[in-house]
Amino acid sequence: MRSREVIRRGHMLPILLMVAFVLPGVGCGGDAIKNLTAAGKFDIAMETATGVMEELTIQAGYVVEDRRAGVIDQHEAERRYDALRSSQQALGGAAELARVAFESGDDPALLTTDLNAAIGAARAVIRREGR
Amino acid sequence: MSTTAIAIVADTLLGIAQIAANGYAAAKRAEANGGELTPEDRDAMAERRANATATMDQIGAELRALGDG
Repeated sequence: MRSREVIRRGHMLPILLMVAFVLPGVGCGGDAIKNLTAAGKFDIAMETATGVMEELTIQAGYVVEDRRAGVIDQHEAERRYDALRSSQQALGGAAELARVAFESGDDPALLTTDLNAAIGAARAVIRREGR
Repeated sequence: MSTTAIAIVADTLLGIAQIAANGYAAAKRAEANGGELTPEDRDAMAERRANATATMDQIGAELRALGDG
């Protein structure tokens, strides 16, 4: 199949989109991230914590879905939900404490380490209780 | 590949591109801000955390209602 025909028929569209939009964005973003200070790295940890908190919510949604579908009983659904919610509360508390400490001038490198530990604990709960 | 499949793949890739573009824009703003996120970007993150918690509570209420029913 000639390359022009491949493009015309749409087979190459995803690849072209990837080359046109995603790769330059990732490449330039990578350079920008390298230039971040310790405070910037703390920001990345906060962003990760935020994403994990959102993931915990998504997993709780799956629990309700599974309950509705009859895959798990009410007791199991509530146990899983409670584990996910507790983990989210712990991570949210850690993120909030880190934010206050950061704004008070604490060492962002140490705060990043603490926050990453809380993120690791939440991810373990997702692996254990999530889909 | 069918037109629908191409549309789905393209839509997914555009979504990824949008996320990459948003991340890139935030990283560039951080560069311009001396290597840190701007206060506005930090506030936006805090709002996302608050939303995640509020949605979690809603899901909990929905789940308890299933038990009551």
